Amino acid sequence: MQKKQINYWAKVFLLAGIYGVAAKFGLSLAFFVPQATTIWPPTGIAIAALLLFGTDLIPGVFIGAFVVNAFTHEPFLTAIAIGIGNAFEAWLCVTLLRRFRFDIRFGEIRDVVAFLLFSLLACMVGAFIGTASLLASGLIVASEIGRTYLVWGAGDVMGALLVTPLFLAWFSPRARSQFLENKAESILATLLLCITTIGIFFYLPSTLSSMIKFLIFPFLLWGAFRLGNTTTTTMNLGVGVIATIATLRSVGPFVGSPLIEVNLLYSHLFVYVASGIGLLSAAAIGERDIGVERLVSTEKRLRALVEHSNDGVALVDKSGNILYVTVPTKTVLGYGEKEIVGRNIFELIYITDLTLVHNKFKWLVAHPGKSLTLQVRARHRKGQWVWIETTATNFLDDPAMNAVVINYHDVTDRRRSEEKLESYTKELERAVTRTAEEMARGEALLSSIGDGFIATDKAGKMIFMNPAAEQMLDLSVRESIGQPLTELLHLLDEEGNLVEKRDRPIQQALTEGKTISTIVGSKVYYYARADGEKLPVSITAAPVILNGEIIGAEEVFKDITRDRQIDRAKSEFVSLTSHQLRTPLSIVNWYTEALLKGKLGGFNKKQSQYLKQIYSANQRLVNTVNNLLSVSRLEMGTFPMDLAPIEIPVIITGVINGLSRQIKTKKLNIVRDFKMKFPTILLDRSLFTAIVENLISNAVKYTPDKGTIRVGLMHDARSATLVVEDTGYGIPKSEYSKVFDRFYRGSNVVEKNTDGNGLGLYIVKRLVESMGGSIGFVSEQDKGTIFKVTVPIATTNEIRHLPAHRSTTARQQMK
Amino acid sequence: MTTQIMAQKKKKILVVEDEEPMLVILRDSLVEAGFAVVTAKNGEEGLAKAYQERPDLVLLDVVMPKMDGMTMMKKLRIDPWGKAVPIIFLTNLTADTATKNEVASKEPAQYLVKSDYTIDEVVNRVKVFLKNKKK
Repeated sequence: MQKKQINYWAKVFLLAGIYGVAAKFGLSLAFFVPQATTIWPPTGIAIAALLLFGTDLIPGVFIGAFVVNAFTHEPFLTAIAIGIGNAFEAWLCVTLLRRFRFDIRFGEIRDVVAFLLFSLLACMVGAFIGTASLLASGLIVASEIGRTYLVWGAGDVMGALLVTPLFLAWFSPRARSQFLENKAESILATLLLCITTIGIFFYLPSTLSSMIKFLIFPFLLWGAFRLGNTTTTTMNLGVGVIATIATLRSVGPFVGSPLIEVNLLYSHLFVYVASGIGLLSAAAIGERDIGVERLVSTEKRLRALVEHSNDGVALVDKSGNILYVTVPTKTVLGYGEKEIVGRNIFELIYITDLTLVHNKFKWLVAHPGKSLTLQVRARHRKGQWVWIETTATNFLDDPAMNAVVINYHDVTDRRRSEEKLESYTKELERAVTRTAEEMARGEALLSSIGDGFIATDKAGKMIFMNPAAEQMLDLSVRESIGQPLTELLHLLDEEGNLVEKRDRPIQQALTEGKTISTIVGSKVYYYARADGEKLPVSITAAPVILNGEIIGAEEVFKDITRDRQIDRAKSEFVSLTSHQLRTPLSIVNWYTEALLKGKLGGFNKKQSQYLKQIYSANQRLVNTVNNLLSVSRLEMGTFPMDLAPIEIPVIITGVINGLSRQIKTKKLNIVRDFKMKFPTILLDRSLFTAIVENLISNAVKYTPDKGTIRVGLMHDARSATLVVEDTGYGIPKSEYSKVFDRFYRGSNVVEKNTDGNGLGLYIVKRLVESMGGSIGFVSEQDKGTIFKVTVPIATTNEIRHLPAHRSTTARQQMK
Repeated sequence: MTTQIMAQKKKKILVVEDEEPMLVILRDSLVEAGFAVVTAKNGEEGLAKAYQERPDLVLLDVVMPKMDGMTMMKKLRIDPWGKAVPIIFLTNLTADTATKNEVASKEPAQYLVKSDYTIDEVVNRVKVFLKNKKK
């Protein structure tokens, strides 16, 4: 604050000082009344100062005027009044100018006119205040008012006119630079003017000078037209001072009146007019110059824009002849200005587009002021076709243009990109539609399938559940999403124990990346529902792999309640049937056996025979029931396999022994083509026994008396093979394909032997295949048959890996 | 009937069977073979007779009213004496794996399907089982 204040007051006092000095100088020219002078420079200084530095410097004017007047034998109050008057005068002028938006550069006619008017007005007011103060203080009398006023007013006006413009000019950078450009000329002109003026005013008789006084005008105009405000205002001041002094000395053109103030007035008038003309001319020239400057710079800018843009501009006449092109034409079309001007635009248009362009052009020419935009192909100078986008406007009627103006730029790349974009977009749309369809299908699938589907992320958190799963598990996706599946849903085993997280299928799929299923094997698992119920399920879980990384897991699970019910029903049926059928059979068996033993009394031969027939028939029935049960169990899939390490030679021996009676009766020759030492194989004992029994009993049955049956057993690393060879009736060639069919009996044996239900081989084949083995035969009618059964081996080594209880069972069974 | 005077006491067999004819033939055959026989018509009766008579072996049918053979065996095996008594299941139900495992886990026990064996074979099995058990 301090600094600003000091600054301010410094300026104020500086102004006051300058004002005072100028005042003193002006007062020295006072001739009539010591306080009223002919030229009052301070007014000019005050106005200039306030215009240039602001009206807040007014106190400076007041102080300056007051101090000066205080020292010119005036009463204190008068000095104050005059001080106020001078300050007010300056303020008024400046305020009016400001309102008028006066430009201190003083370069326009409007500024000059405003200045002339407002300074005149302000000075009239100022003179009035001054005169009034003098009258009031008694320094003048009423009769002197007129003259005092005029002198005072004229003095202030001249002061304003000659001094203010001078300051404004020298403060304007433009005017200053104008002076600097024409330093020599300005000085020369000013000097010449002053010399001429002095010559006219001082060295010529008044009548001559009166006529030639207009000779100063050429110099003034020279300054105004060529040399700017600085010179003009200087010239004005020069003329003003010289004229005033001359008139005061009663020389020069203005000496007509005995009253010197009258002469002065005429002189002032002359100077006023001359200066005014000078200033106005200078302003006029200035305005023109500024206008030209602006035009030039605008032109430069436009030119630069046009030449450096990618757009070309061409002017064509109403027939399409090219009148003018801009520089970019070379880049876009390869033609230089000279090469293309005069040619017709239609020469350059692609044939296919020509008709369209023609029609559009015709329309445009018929509609002045309108414009249209087209994309056309034009031929480049080098021969290739480029796509250009053109905007043509009809300026034919515009006198400035007289042409159709065409703006154009190369859009070849853009078109290509657009085409590519379009095709990509179409492809994308197609792909999106396809994906959306697939997704919709997938979702529809998942929503509609009856099995439950759950998906988890890498961390095992549930991210999706289909409606079936929600319903089966009594869970809501919305509430459960994001939770770890193993915590959200518990899995129980058959005994109701919780299955640990690491043993759960979904966890194994996640960690090991394998597909795990609980369908295989007879273990049943339950999902523990939120409402406490247990849902028996079979689960298949698989990892979700993307780019070789496991990103999550999915599981599909099935409610097997019904399946289990069906299974149970099947098993129950089978067991019930077997029990109900077999009970009476075994009763008949045992009673007949007991009778035949003879311990309950003897029978005669015939009675024995009949009993034996009963027994034999019953046996057949037992066999048939057994076979039927086997078949139905095979069909129903309720054939459990109880794997144990078995010794095949032992089984074969047992079977042969069991058939010993028939063998003896038929006097058959049995060849045991195997060693008792044979690796133990992991098989289901009863099922394998059934196989062996079926094959050997068939051989026995279908070989005539005294025939040979060979039973062989071989093995290699991977499988064991059983061979049953006989010299029996054989199988007719035409029936080879039916051998393993249910109820098939060779046509050649049916008559010979009515015993047999035709199920044996069917069962054997099914059993063999369920063990992972295979069966085949070779036969020739009336010569014999060879049956071969191969089963895969699990050797002793593998047996060691069996869980403990299985080994126990094996030992148990071997007792 | 042949009476065999043996150095040891006669072995007692408990036959639990709901089919009357079955029961008769089994009893007669065993008696003929020199065994003492007690009978029961169902699992409940069988259990009671078992504790009462303390047989050396039990021939046990599976499908019976009131209490089936499997249940009777389970209950019997809880008893300290019952734990050790040999049991031969005589049934016409085809044994499935679960049953076989159960039988195996509750030694000493065997499982025979009636229609697969002659009566003599059954009696033989009893003899063999008892002999082995002694060992």
